Amino acid sequence: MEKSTDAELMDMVLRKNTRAFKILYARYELRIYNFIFRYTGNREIAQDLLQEAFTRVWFAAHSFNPGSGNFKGWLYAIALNITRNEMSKKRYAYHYLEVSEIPYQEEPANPRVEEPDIELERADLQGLVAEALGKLSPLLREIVVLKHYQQLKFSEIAAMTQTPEGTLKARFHRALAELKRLLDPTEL
Amino acid sequence: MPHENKDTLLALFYHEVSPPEEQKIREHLADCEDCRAYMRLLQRMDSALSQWPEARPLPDTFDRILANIPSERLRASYVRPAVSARPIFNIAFAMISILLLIYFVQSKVSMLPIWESLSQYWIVQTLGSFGFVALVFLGVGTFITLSLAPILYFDLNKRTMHI
Repeated sequence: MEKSTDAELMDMVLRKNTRAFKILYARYELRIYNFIFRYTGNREIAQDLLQEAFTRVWFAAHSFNPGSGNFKGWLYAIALNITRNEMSKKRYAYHYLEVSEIPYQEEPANPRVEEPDIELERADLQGLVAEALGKLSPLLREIVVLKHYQQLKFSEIAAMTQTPEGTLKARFHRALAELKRLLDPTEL
Repeated sequence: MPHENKDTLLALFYHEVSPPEEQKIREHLADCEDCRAYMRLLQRMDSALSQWPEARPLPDTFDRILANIPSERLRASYVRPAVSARPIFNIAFAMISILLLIYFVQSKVSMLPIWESLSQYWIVQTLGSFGFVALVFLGVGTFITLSLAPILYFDLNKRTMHI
């Protein structure tokens, strides 16, 4: 079952197969979590919305049509809608992470001991990036997260957001200019 | 040579151009400092954004998701078989019950005084007591079914409309 395609697994999910659902979850858990986390800048909200996104996958499995698009695009569209809705509620003020909250990159097998200065510098930089992203308008942040972090093609994002590719690229250029101003890349 | 569109440079940076197109843009880049500067900016921003590492959700997230799903909807191992034996058993049980009922009724009917006069008719003589009672059952059953069919049909339609 592990080698099944997303569409095959979704067919099993439609028949209420939790094992297939778990495999799908494992495939996309990190991507969707990080998409929401970077969009909202809040770990707890990302956790809640990740759960909500996959709960919707379970209940709306019948509405997935492999003929009209792939599972990845469908799942991202769900996550994007949920996140946009949550962001528009303004029930609580969104704040991006403080520098101390930013997780460090996990080391692979053999962790190297780094100089404290280098670690501090890296944490500073992570904080700056998170803060700069948080200052972008939601639409600009959305395109940066989908394009840079999620590595989606503009055509995929266009299909998912129902927005022309040209508009998305224009937003990306604007986001880059904003980020450049905020981060001052000559200093990086 | 005119400057490349920024969108084209973006497409090149994210490998979303065809090989011939890529070659053409790279030839232009070799001669154009402005476009090279934009590519450098893309590279620098890419490096800067990559400083924010991936995070991980809580390890028990999947269990939490399952907890949100009502248990009657979870049937991990149940797969509906292509052919089910249950309807066959149901039909067989119903047929045996009807045959037993006919046998019981005909044994009682044949003891009634009216049976003497009924048995004069050719149909009763041809079918026998069991066949005659079965025919009566069939007639009554058909009458009841046809009487109820319109009611059942309209009631079903009404229910469907309310779903």
